[in-house]
Amino acid sequence: MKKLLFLLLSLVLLLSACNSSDTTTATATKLENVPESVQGGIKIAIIRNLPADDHTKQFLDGARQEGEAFGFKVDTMIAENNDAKFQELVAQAIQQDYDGLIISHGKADYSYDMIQPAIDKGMKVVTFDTVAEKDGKKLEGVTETFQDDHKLAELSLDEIAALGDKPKVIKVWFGPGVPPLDSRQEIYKQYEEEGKFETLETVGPTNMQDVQGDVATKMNAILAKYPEGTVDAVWGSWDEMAKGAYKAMKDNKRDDIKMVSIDVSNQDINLMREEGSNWIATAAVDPFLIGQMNMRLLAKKLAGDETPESYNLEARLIKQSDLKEDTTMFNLDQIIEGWGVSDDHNEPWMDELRKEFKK
Amino acid sequence: MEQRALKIDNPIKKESPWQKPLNFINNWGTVIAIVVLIVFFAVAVPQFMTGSNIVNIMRSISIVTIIAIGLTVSLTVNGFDLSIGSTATLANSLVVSFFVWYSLPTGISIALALILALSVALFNAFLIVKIKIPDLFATLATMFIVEGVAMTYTGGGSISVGMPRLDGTPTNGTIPSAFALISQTPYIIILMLIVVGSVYFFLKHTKHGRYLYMIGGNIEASRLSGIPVNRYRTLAYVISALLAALGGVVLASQIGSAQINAGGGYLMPAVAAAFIGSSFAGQGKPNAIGTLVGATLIGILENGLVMMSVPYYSLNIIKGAVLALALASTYYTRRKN
Amino acid sequence: MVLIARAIVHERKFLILDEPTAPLSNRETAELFRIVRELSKNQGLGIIFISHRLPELFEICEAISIMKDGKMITTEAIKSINQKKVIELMLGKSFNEAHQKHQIPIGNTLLKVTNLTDEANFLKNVSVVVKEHEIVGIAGLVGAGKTELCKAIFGENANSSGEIYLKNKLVVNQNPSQAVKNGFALVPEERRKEGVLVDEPVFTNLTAASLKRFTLPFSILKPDREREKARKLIESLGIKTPNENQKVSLLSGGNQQKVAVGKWLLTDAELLMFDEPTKGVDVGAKGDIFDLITKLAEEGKGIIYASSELNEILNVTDRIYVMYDGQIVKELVTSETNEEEILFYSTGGQ
Repeated sequence: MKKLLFLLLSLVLLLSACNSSDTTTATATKLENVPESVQGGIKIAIIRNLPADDHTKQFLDGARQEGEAFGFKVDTMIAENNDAKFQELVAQAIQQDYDGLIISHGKADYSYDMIQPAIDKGMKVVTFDTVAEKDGKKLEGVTETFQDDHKLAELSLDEIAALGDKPKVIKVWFGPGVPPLDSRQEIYKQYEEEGKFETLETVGPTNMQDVQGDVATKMNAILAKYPEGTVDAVWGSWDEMAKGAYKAMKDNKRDDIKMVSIDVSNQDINLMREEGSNWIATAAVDPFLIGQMNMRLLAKKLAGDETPESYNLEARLIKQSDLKEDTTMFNLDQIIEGWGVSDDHNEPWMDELRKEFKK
Repeated sequence: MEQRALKIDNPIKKESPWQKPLNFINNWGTVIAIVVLIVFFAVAVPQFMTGSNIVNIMRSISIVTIIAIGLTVSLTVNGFDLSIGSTATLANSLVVSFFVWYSLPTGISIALALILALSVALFNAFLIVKIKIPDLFATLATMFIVEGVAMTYTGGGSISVGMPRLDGTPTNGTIPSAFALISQTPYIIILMLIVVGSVYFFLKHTKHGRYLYMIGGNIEASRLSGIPVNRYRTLAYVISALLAALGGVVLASQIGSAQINAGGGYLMPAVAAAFIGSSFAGQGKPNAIGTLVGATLIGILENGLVMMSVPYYSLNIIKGAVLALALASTYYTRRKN
Repeated sequence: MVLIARAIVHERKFLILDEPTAPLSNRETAELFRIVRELSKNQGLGIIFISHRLPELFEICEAISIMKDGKMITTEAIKSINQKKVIELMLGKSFNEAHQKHQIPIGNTLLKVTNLTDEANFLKNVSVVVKEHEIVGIAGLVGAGKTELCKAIFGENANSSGEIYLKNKLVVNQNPSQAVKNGFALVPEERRKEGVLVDEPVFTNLTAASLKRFTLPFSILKPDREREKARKLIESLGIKTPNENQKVSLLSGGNQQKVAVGKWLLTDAELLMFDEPTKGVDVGAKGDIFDLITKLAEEGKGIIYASSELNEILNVTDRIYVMYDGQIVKELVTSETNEEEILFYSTGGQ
């Protein structure tokens, strides 16, 4: 018994030892054309306050890969829309010796106070979809990035409004309290008041761990209530929920209903491309690119370069009819102009770093 | 002691006039609740009683039921397996990774995922039987470990077709259409019924089932009756993990991807189903049919309430309240006995 | 010790010690005695020392009072009395009950236990022999190690050392499950906790140890067969229950005990151990249990009968081992001994 325990313990220790040994690769020589302040053991923390989904993963991957390409050590944390846990994580990160933070989806109520200590400590901060404002004052030196949620909502809802004369809509939405979804809701409300469509039901998840499955269950019940021909469209305000709704419609063979959503992932693309799929369009900003942009902005801050106070990432509409056989998240740029690649905020010294760390 | 013996020889016990109806409610509380709910929803929403909606309900409870049946087996030995949700997540991640990363065939992927998930059971059994940590604490620890293992293995938790791996390696596997079929009707419902039926038979009509219940009733007396107690407790956790993993595989088939802690959300509904099920037919013991009935109760409730356009944020209030009522009907009278 | 210390701090005039050495080791006992002596000498404390371990009393006390059945029998100076006399007084001189021993011819050696020592080192080098048709008593006071001995033979105490031979064949009882396979059975002392499953019906209790006999292929149970066997047992053992489906918790103590014994009658047990089988059992059921044990011996089984009820031991057994402090201190032939002698050895007499 004791032997086994010992074995287990030593295994754990060994594993952790291995882990730490390969992260401590510091650059020995300094590069000439690169600002010194971004060289040698830069540590970045990315903290995101959204339930884990494909969007989250792509955002984190984008930021991490860009950061690692610069030779930074990047740690990622997610708080799953638990504000208390989120603030804790951020506070912890500030305690540690990170050089920069990327804060994603902090809420207006606390973000200013939460980030303040990091600024005081001299950390560089870039935020995404986070409102860090207090009494109309913004935090100095923080760059805010947003994906244009109003625009995303407009793009998707225009598609729905175009389906006919005042189409009947099942709204798949969750909130209030999640900033991007709240922004999307504002547009939805506006359109609804303008009489562009009519809402039949609102569906949302109660099991935040299996959003997809949970929404599918609820959508099943709703679909049973509305026989064929009584619903025109489903608006999926977040693709994770849209996937569940899609699943339910497919299981019930309800291709009489069209679905338009917001956000995109590989799985979404696969589902849109399925034979007889009723998922006709989704509006999105490339989450991978968002991650990259956030990291570039943070690198520029570390280098002491000029950075804007805010930066908006442009929304695009991906239509079912545009998708090709082999389309994935990584070649969407072939069918959507300007998708996924951007030279914004790219500096010559970043290329130097990329070259150096490619070895 | 002597007094008690006398009572039995003399069966003229004073019974309150309420005893009989109370006993009836005690035994059949969950079933009554289901009937009442069905009538209520059928009147309130005409579409509730359509065949397709009933199929909907059955499908929606399938995964919860499969996982809850596993939990039921761990409850029979008076254990408690908190790690089922994580185990489902792990199996979900494993099976999707076999498809997407390694392009393995359907049968092999499923079998491998189930076999690997068994390591969770063995770890649980090691902690509980050998180290003698109480079940609840041991499986709580396992729950976190397994959740972390699943996330570490997948590199953050989610895998879907076409998504490159964490290190940037592109993937080219797809999810076979045969696999996706598992979660379609009627297969998913048939699978659930097979699981319920076979576990029912196993618990009720085999020597092993009898031993499991005996151990749950009194572990010391069971040991001293020559029952290999540790072996059977291990078996209980093996079955529990296996069914949780099966639930995870079905979940993978349903969502076609691996999601962070996707199985975690099934823990509490499974616990609720198994607990409600314990009171089924006055058994007072965890049992497979009861668990199915418990899951059905929750499923009907959820379906009906959504149909009545009860806002999703209020759903859990009513759900919890009905559960409390169903349980109260059982425990209120049991306390007196 | 803490309790004594607390008593001393409060400067009382009397100190009553009730079986103070029961949970203590020898070394601790010596320490306790040293303190007690000091207290009585230096602080002038009056001390009452209650114990059934007679040597202790002779070691530490100056006067002795003997109680029996709630009555004070006598008070004498310790010097004017000896251990034998104390025992006689404890039992009452009128004790002279006739043995109702069944005449059974004793067979070959069935069980041989040599140098059994348990993990906690409480049992020390215990050696026991039981022959076919023989009922062997284990006598001793509460805490002498009777239960520990039974459980150690039954494999409940896995890491114990020593060897167990059944019919001259070395057997390893790593756990009770193995012991049952090897032909051992135990009716434990704590009936409701260890002997029966109180929430289960009578018939599942009776078949608990022999369930393999009631299965089809794939371990599928044959409940009708179980019930049939159970009904037979209920009748032959005279278990008072409305039917075989009655929960055991609703039976009286004596009938519960019959169920606990009954489950072994369906196994191949060759050696049956009974640990305080009459505890909490009414007089009628007691007689039934004695008859049953005697009958089992007649069938050729070996019986170990552990009890602190001396008259029962004398009544039922052929031979007696007397235990004191985890050791067997004396082996006696039942027909040649009496209660005084047993008590003498079980209270540590040499």
